Amino acid sequence: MKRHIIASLRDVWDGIRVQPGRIGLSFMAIGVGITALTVLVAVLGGLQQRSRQMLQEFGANVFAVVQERTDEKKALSAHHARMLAANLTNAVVTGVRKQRVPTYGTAREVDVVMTDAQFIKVRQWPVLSGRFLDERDVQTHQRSLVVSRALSRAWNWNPGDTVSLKDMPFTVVGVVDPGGGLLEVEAADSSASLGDQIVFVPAGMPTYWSEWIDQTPDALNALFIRVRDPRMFDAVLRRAQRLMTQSGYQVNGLEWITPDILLKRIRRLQQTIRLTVGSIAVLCLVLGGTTLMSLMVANVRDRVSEIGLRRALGATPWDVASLFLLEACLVTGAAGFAGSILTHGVLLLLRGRFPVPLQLGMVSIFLPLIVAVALGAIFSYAPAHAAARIAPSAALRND
Amino acid sequence: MNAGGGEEKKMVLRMRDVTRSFDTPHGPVHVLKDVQFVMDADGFVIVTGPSGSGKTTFLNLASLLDVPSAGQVFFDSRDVSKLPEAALCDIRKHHIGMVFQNFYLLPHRSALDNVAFRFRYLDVDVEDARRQAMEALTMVGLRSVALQPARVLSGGEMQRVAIARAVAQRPRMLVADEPTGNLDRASARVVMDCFVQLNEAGIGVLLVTHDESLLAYGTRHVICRDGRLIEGAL
Repeated sequence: MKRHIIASLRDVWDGIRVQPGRIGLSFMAIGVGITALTVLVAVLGGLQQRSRQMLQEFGANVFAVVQERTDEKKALSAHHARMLAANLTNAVVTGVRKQRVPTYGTAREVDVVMTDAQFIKVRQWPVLSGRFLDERDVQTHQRSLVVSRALSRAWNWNPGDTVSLKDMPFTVVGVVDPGGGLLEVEAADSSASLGDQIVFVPAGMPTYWSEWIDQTPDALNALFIRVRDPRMFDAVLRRAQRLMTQSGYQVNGLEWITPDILLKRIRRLQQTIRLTVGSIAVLCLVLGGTTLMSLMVANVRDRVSEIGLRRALGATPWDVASLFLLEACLVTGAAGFAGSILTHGVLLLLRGRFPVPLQLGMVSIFLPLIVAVALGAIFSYAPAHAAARIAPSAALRND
Repeated sequence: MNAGGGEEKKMVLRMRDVTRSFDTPHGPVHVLKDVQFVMDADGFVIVTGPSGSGKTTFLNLASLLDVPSAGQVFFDSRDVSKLPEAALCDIRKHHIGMVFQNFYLLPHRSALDNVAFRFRYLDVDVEDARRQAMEALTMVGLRSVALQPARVLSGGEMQRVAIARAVAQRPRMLVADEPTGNLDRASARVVMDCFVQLNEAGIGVLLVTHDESLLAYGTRHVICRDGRLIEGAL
């Protein structure tokens, strides 16, 4: 078996050596196709993971109210949160305000989320160590701070540490897991998605570093409402929407985000990417495949005498066919491997700057590789079959 | 008149009423007609004849590269006319050595590797194959060029490498199609001496040529004319 494999590889190497130009052309054509396919698989995987993460982060029975434009005269505020909390008996309501704040003594900035003690009940993120903000923190404006897992790891902020946001010292009281971690969390909606590199401080903190809040000191980016009984979800949503249209509570530019809407957004994006990148990938691969096929046809034509010799030495038709099949599969496999590895390297370098989330792993490495080898087998089947059908006497008369 | 000879027990190849025809747009063309032929296991048969007389077709049938349209071909007393392709491949691989006018060497491989290529489809260990290949190269007097690429060898050396490849496995029969066709007179002589030496070692040789000066090397002469075989004089 080992002897046979070595002999086959040597045959393939001989075939490659006598026609480097043709093989190089096939290699490039398949490599380009595999690059496009790898990007597609990585992006679709990333979006899939992103949708799961968003749902996890968002919460299955949670809906959000966000105000896209914060310069509206009537801003979403704690006033609305209190009204909804008082009227929605079957739900828990929390509000968030997010802004970027520089940390003391460094050039780093951090996303600070000001919220209340209800937040953790609504979002139900796991508290990994310490505790989340409580009622006392909020009522007495304690300088307590809860850090996300990603930031805790990145900056080594742990419960008990004293850290500084701009000029203000805070005590880290806990670490929470927003559910992401693997992704560069760029928010499809910056208000509904808080990201995974965040810290929480009690709402109502002195806001002298809150530059964007111009009209209302207790303005919010978003309200999150968790419905206690999943069966009441639609009813609570409708009631909340009605309540927000009452006189004195009307706010312009509100958007209601539910898990369904989030999923639809992601799926629309997935579909668009699948169609565009997928078309490019399929086109490249078919182009590469047909190039390979034409090259294999020429390859067979040029090696008819060699086919005759092999048949004279006892090769069966299958031996001859497998020679060309193996050659094509090894070339496309190598092209696929090179394309996949190169693309992974480039994507890893660009990961932070890539406009959509990416998932790089075994699937994005091996799926394109399998596709490449399959392409080699499919597109070389006809030439290989033709080679196998050449009668040995005819092959030896070729010269 | 048909060609025949030799005793049944020493026979390596026998053709009985063999016809080979090819379909053309103008109807079938009979290249060989009712051929009777027997070859001894230790014979050295030289087949001559004008172009288009059916020599190569006869050689293809003899080397089991082709099958007859009618009649029977026996190899080692076994009827091989109706055998499946895989069985014919098996006989070719184990028992028949072939030498061609154009050598058909793999140009990038060394002379030794070209000879060892004889074992490509046989279940023989690599080291064993190389050892037997070196023995064959030594037998044809080319041990000194064993490691040189085939493409740098002279025509005569290439043909001797091809002969070494054909006999490395010690076949029952060696079939040669115009083996001296591309060689000068001196190289042809060396190559023919190799065939004689192999025949003396007990390998049957069936050689097709245009060159009647080679008849002196054979033990039997057969003329191919208009698709029939006729016993000729030496």
